[in-house]
Amino acid sequence: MSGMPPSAIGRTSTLMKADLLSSALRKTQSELMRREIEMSTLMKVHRPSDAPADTANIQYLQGMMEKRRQWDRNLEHASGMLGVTDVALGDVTDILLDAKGIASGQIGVGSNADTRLSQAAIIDGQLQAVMEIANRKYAGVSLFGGLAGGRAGEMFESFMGGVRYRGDTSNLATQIGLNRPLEINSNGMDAFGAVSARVSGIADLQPLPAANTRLSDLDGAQGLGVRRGEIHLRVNGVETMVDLTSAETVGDVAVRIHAAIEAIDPTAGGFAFVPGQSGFSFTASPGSLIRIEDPAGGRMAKDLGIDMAVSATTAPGDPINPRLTMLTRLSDLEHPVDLSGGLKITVGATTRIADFSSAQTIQDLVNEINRLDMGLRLEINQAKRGLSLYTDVSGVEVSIGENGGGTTARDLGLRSFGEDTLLADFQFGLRGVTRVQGEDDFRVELKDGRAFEVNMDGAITVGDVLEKMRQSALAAGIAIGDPGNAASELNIGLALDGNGFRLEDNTTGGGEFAVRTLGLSLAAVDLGIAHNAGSGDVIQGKDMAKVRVESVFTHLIHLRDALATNDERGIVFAGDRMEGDIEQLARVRAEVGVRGQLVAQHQERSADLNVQEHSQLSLLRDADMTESISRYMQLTQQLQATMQTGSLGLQTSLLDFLR
Amino acid sequence: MGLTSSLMIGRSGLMSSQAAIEVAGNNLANATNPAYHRQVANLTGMGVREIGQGMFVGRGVQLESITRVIDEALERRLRNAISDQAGTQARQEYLQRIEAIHNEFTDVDLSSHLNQFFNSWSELANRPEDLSLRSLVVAEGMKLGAYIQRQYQSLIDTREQLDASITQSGARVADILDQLAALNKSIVAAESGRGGAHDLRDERDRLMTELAGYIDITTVEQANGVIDIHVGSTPILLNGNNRGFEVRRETIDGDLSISLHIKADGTELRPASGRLGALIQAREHDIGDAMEKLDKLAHELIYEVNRIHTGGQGMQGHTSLTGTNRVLDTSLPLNDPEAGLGFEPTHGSFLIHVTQKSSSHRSTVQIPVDLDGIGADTSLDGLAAYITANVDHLTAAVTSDGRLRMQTSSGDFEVSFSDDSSGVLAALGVNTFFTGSSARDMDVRADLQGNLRLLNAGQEHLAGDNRNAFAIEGIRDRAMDRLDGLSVTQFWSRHVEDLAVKLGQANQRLESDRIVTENLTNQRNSYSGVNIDEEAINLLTFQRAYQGSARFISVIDEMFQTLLGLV
Repeated sequence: MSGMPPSAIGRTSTLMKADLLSSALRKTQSELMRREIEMSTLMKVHRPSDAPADTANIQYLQGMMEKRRQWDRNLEHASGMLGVTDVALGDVTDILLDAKGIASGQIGVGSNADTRLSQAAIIDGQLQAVMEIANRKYAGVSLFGGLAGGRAGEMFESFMGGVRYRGDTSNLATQIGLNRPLEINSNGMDAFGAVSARVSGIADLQPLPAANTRLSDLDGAQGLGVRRGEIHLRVNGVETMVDLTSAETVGDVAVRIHAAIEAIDPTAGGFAFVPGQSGFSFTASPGSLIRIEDPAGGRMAKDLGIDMAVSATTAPGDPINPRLTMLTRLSDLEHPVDLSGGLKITVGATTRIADFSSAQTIQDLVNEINRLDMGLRLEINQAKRGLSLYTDVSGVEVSIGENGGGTTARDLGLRSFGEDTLLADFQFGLRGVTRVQGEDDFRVELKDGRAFEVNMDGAITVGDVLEKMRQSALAAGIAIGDPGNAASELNIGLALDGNGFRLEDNTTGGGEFAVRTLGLSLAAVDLGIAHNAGSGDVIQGKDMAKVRVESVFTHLIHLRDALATNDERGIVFAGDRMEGDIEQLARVRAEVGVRGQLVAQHQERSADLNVQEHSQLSLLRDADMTESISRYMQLTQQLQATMQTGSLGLQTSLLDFLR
Repeated sequence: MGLTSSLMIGRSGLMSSQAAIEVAGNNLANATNPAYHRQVANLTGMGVREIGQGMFVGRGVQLESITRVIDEALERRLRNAISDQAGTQARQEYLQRIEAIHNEFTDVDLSSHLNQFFNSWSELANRPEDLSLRSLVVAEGMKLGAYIQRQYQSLIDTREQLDASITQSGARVADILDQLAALNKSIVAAESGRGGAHDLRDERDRLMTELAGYIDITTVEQANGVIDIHVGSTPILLNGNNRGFEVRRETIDGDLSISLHIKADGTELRPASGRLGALIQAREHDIGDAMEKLDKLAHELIYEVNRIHTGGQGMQGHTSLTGTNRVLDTSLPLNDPEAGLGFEPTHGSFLIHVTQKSSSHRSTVQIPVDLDGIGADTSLDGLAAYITANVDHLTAAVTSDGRLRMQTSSGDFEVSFSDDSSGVLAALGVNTFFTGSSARDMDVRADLQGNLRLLNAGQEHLAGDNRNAFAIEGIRDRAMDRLDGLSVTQFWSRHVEDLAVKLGQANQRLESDRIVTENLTNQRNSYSGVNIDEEAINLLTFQRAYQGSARFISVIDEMFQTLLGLV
């Protein structure tokens, strides 16, 4: 832009003319230079101050484009990962279809022990092939390792005669610019069923709070956690607010509220947390009234279970329900736990004892299970009130029972054959317990000749079976007790060591102590108690509720072993299970495919957005060359005109005409 | 009536014309002197003589005065405009420098470095144990730290240049005031209350105009010709005397402060415009603001990244580690300002995990950080003692220079941390990603640079996990209370926008100030400037008048000769 000429010039001076010319030239040249830079860089905005109003938009677009570059890389990585995962799942499916074909082909008269033995070798090869596929990686990340997928090493390895999964059950995720991160790999549990969570503790261990329990580890009196803030305290009519925003622990809350009461009236009462109680304790001296409540919009007093008034008494607050953490002390569990017995854990042919006798915290229990190195993981369950024991080893059977007459497994809710165990989970959940509706299922005969029949109708759990047996025995006039009780006639319960039902006949006589099946019912067999002890006193049932990881590996191992041992029933059984594996793989593959589609859609969308953002940025920053060039030409002419007229004006003077 | 008196009339014409020609000549000589105000020779008749009843004839002409053509009100307005323009120009100059230091809208700016840093964590999340990506994260962290440090140092350098400029300008102001005081005296002496010392006045006006370029002044001329000068309501030149001017440099809480004062009584001057006024403002508000914003961003970024990093785990744990941040008095509560931590921990707790590598046995201990001001609060000494007393296979101690040092009992044990609600680990620099607490000292922890396996990309001791990398990447867009509810990238963008608006406004204002100054200068030049053509006409006119008077004398002379010829 050129200079603005002065208006209403009454008189000019030589200096004024020179100044005006100089100013006009400066402005024209400055504008010319700006246009030259525009044309040489193709941009009109080089610095934020060139377009302050557009700075925010330019910054935003540049930031988005920089983020998008990374999202595009993440999408590319996810696309590759999911693509390779899809291929791997397809490969496993093909192998399983082959294996299932082999299983079908080896049933019936067309096959014999020799051909089955040779086919077992093929299945073994297929098992190795599936392991190789399951251990595949993309760009160094395991396809089926879940959250642990970034770890070096293999996710599936041979272990105790089976296949152990070393990955996690959640997936690795990446950021692609969506509200939620995108999961980029799969995990052994989803794809191959490589983890069993059957022994997920049902027991609520009822942890009690401790002084150092963090408020963030409380479910709170309302089950909504503890929402921090201030509470309103009134002591004998004197009011104050107590700020608990920065309180970290249960102990902090007690100290601060007690201090606030004392500050108003040291004789009015007190507020405390007493170890062993489920909440806070509130005391008002005779003649005193203490009231705690939430201010408007506050929730902390209710969450802490102390929204209450106390007069001349000591009153407990509501339970504040701490969650179980690794730091929870076992002595702080309201639910009694026998730690002296430990767990008898059998994995395949190996039995080890988990010794919890010196354990003090949940972390110690976890450490002991890890120390056993049996492919088991002890974790706090989702409700944060109990424990779950996960089995990561396929192809072997796992049993978690009591040790030496203790009740540790039952108390921790970790017994694989406990009163809460579902009959449907018997025999690996395949057959459960076969009964005949409306008819008695088995008979228990005692040595003294008495007997009673047990009808299993309506029984769902092991506890129901025990109750049915007890009721039937009582109805038959038999005095019953728990195992180990010498005073009763018949003891009915679970094994004191290991797993299974245990029946003890304390009667005498010439008869046989036996459990016999009735009619078409296989219940006694399926419960593991169909046994004739003869003159013996004890029927120790078999553990028919062992835990088995129902995975691709388990079924291949079983098929291999059934073929090798010429076990036609086993071959049929394994073949049938593979049907489920193939369906599961199809589901996972579909889910991976959906994620792959999502990635493809986002890649497409990202490319569009990229073009849009570049275009918007171009509109904001780039020079309009037509405008720049025409303006440049105008300015050149303007400069020329200014120079010509200016020099002429300065050169011409009256003095030139004086002689 | 006599011929002699006629000769006197001719003489007066010759002398007046000669003087007027000299005035025109002087004007022509000063035609390009910007401080010069044109002068006008004022001629007046010398009175009349009665030559007959009721008949009068003039006695000739005389030079009554030579006046300086000046509009004092216009001069004052011009000085104000110059003051405004100089101030705006100085501010614009330093805002431009800050903008140039930030270098935004390029690929080498802080916004890009921040995004590259967070992108590197996002990339690491894809392959959490890939050492090349871990190396990338560390390299990007170092680049970011070094870039922020360079930015900050450049701002310091610019501030030092500005300080030098203030000192230099202050010296020139003092010098001008000395000269003005001397000129005041000279003018009084030369004029003795009658005016006419035009050159001295022009010089004084020139100096006042130059002074107005440094500070905004108001002037009051006394009857004796002395000029008093004020800044705001404070006189700096009073009754012709210089009250003195100085630039004071004081260090307050380690920060250099610069202010302008009257020497005579120490009154602080706060010029609203002029170069000095603008420099003081640019120092305090523009450069100071940029430094503060950069420092705040670095502070929060270091803290937030470190808080997440300390709670994660790497591909290996630590058998020994030392906090990177010093505590000045290890017996004081950790949140006491005298403890000297760059970050203030709060009341809370954290977990220490000690894992035996050979057995995978892990013990976890909750460490309270009691900083609620009730009872004894946690000091560094207390924290170290508590850890040593309560965590098996781990010893904590305070080093001689006030850092927390932890050491496991053997190489078979590793220590890790999690769930720090107090922020004490980040404050002490334990297992952090960054070291330092500000834009001056931000860097990546040295042992991370040496051992990439210590980079904490995972959580919950799960090898191969990427959740910590993911969480750190999430800082990019996470609103933070201490950044006014903005994320780090938004916070910096907002600063860049603010700076752009300020500079844009300064650019516009400078342009308008220039136009105002040019217009006023043109008005002044129009009124007070010399026009060569005009002076040439004057020259011609007075030359002709001179010639006329000379001819008149010649005629009188001839009349004399005629008369004498009669004798």
